[in-house]
Amino acid sequence: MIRFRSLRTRLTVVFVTLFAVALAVVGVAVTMAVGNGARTLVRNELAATGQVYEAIWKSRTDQLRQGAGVLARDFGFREAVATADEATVRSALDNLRARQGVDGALMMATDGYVTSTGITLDDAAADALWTGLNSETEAGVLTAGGRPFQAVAAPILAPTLIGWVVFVDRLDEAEMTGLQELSAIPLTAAVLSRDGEVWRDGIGVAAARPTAAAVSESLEDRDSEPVIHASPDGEMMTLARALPSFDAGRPAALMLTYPLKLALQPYGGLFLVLALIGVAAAALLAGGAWALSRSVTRPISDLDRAVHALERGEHAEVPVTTDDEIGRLAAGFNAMVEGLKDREARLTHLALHDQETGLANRRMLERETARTSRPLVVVVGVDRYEVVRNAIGHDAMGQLIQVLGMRLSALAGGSKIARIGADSLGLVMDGADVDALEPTVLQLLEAGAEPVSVNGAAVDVGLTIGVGDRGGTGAHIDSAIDRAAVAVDQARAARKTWQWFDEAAYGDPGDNLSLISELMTALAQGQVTLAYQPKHDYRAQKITGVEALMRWTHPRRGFVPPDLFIGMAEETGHIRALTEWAVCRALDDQRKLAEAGHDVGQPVGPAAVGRELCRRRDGGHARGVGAPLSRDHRNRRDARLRGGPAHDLALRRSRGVGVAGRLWFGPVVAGLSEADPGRRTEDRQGLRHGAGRVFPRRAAGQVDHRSGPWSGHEGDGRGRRDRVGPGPAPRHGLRHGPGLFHRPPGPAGRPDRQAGRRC
Amino acid sequence: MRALLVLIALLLSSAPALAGNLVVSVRDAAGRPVQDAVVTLHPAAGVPRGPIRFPWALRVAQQDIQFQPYVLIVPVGGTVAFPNMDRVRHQVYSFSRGQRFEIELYGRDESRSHTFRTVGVAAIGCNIHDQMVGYIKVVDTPWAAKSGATGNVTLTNVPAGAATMRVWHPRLNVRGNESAVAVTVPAAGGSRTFSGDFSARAAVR
Repeated sequence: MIRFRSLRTRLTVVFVTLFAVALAVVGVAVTMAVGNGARTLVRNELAATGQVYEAIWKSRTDQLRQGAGVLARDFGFREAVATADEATVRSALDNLRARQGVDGALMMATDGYVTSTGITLDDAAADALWTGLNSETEAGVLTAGGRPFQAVAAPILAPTLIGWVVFVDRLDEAEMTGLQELSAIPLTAAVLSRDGEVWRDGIGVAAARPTAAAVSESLEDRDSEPVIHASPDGEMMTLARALPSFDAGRPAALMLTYPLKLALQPYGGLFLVLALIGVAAAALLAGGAWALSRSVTRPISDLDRAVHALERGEHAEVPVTTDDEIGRLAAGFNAMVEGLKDREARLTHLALHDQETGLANRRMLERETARTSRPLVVVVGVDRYEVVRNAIGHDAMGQLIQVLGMRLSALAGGSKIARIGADSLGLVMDGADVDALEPTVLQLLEAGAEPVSVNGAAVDVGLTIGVGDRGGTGAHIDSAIDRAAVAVDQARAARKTWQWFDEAAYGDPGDNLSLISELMTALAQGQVTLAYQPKHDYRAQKITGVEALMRWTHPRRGFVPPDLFIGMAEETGHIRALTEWAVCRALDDQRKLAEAGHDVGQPVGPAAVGRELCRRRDGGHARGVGAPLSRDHRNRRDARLRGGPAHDLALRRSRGVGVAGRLWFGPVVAGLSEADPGRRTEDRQGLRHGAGRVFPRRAAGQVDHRSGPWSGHEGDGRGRRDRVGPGPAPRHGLRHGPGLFHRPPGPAGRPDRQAGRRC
Repeated sequence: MRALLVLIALLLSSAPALAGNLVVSVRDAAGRPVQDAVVTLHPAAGVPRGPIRFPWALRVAQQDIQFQPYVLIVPVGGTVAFPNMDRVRHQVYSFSRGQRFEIELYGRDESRSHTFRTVGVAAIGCNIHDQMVGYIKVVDTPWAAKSGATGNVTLTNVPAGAATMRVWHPRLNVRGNESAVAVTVPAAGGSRTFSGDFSARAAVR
């Protein structure tokens, strides 16, 4: 089955094919009719010629018989025959032969003796002739010397039969040509005689097998109908009519043949004209069908193109030119395209807008960002979002964000405000207008300061703004939106109202993601140590204890800030293992210090906790000091240990029992958190910035009295030491302060050698 | 007187033993009677000397353009008259071997004659009328007769004893159209039947 790519081609091909089939049928019918007509013509002509030849044969026979009869009845001739006067007989035969114009004349006596002129009979011919004459055949074909003759006999009665006068005439080509000329069609005539199974013509050539078969068939036909048969020259029509023969064993026949090819020849011109007409009509039809199908299929082709355009996401519309089915289809298609466009627009709007507020969403902002060559993204974070939301509910919060967004949009000169998170809105500014940034930001902050009216109630909202541009090469975070969002967090952390994204402060958070898994390995490998900072009692003006500070020296990263890994340990729950390790290490160190004569307090509660923890870790060997906990006490403690962060537990315990020797966990400033959060932050930062250089690396448990942090304490550390010296502490009403002026935190050893000198 | 009667009886007995008639029935292959068949008998003892006389006239008339009779038995040396009874003239001839003669055209009520001196058959015809054919059978025995419509031939006073019987007919399909049969004629005569093929074309030369 042919697959058409074009409807027009298909229609044209179908039309032309149908027409060609119809034409072929007509052609076949005409050919058959003409062929049949020609056959009938030839058949009739052959039959007519056959009858004509029969008449000619008879006429000729009569003529010959008459001639022979004249001689046979001549008294003198009869007498000559009766008296065996051969010379006279021969002379008479010759004479009459010349007069009649026959090829040969002979006298055959009843005893078979032959006297002939003009023809010499061989024995076979004489036998055949006598046999025929004796059986009263007096006319027919006589084959002599392999050639057929027409022979006619007249009896010689004297008065009884004494012989026959026989006239013979050659049935040669000339004779046949004469017959052929009588016919209206150029047929071929021949007299054949059968020799066994073979029909031989006038010169003894055997006829071809199909011809011979056709001759036999035609002879057997009662109506002497012509027979059509194949021959080397194509189809032939052959008619055979039996001729009398003197030799019963060698029947003779007149054969008339005509090649059908010749019969159809006159119609060749007709066929040619018909074929030309057919081709012309087919061409005309093809052109017409092409044109017609073009007009029919053009709207369909337009639809096809439109559908493919639609598939590619392009605009597609087809002209509606008619009122028929195709026109309605086109109109329907256009309506469908419009509907699709609307839906697509709705879907796009949905995809690019926040459902709750109707503001653009983060994806929209990303598009805007991508469209801007040097985007500056301003992210406005709503402070205390959860608090406010929990207070006024989700719906009202949505309204609040919406009102806020519209307000900010008006301020930002119509810039699109996108809600990029639950608590944050964002807008894109052109980086070229960096000068206009700060006024805009300030305007935004100012606008945010105005209470927002939600459901008739005014709600105060605090805003923090982060600004970010696109990250350059090597930046850990390159999205301007992400950077601006981080900047919000950074601003909040810095207690600023707005801030640019701080690349350095951001660091590489991605690298920290594997930190906790490495922390456990670090504990086992001794990368984590405790550093002790003496605690100076302002009232007693002496060192009353030490503060244990956790230090992690990473083999690759170097110093890892405690507020980084402890904060993450708190988030992941690994703080418990860390706490256990720290308590055990501190108790060990306290014991060592005590053995060395440095009383750093008698931790009662925490010691018990630590001892218990250590026992559990060390398989039941108490390595700490102090009384063991009662079973009940242990249970309650364990329950609490399980329920909350371990360091909180430890702090609470130590606070509750009021021991002098306290264990501080976390960063060095953890102990200050309750009294001075601001300081804590500063110290944290200070530590983070400087700590990497402050403490040299050392092995766990190693006590180093000489190499204090003083040696390399520079920059912020040094400045802070001045600030947190004994001076300012009483100002804050603190009893204890870090003994940094005695020495910076260091490992357990003999603190008296350094600290005690001062104390 | 009684002695004379005995002498006569002796004389008679010393002569050829004359027997009765021999009746020959001529039939064709289908058993039908054949007319105009000539039956001759030659006793082994020979035929008696002297002229032979037949009871029928030696005459072939031309009447209604036919020879009448069709077959005439003539003793050798017999002269046959050919009277013309028709209005037309006839030219009677015979080319038969030993019997050639020709009688020039002659008219009505004229008569010509010809003496047949040879034993045999003379086929006679008319040069004017091809359809006129007749046969004259010249015999040298007194015991000759031709069959009638019944096909029977009666030879009277046939001598008893061995003899050669010949049957001739222009259409008898044997050589010379004549068939010879050796017979023994009983003293009391008798009858015989001759069957033959009488389908031959009349072909006497």
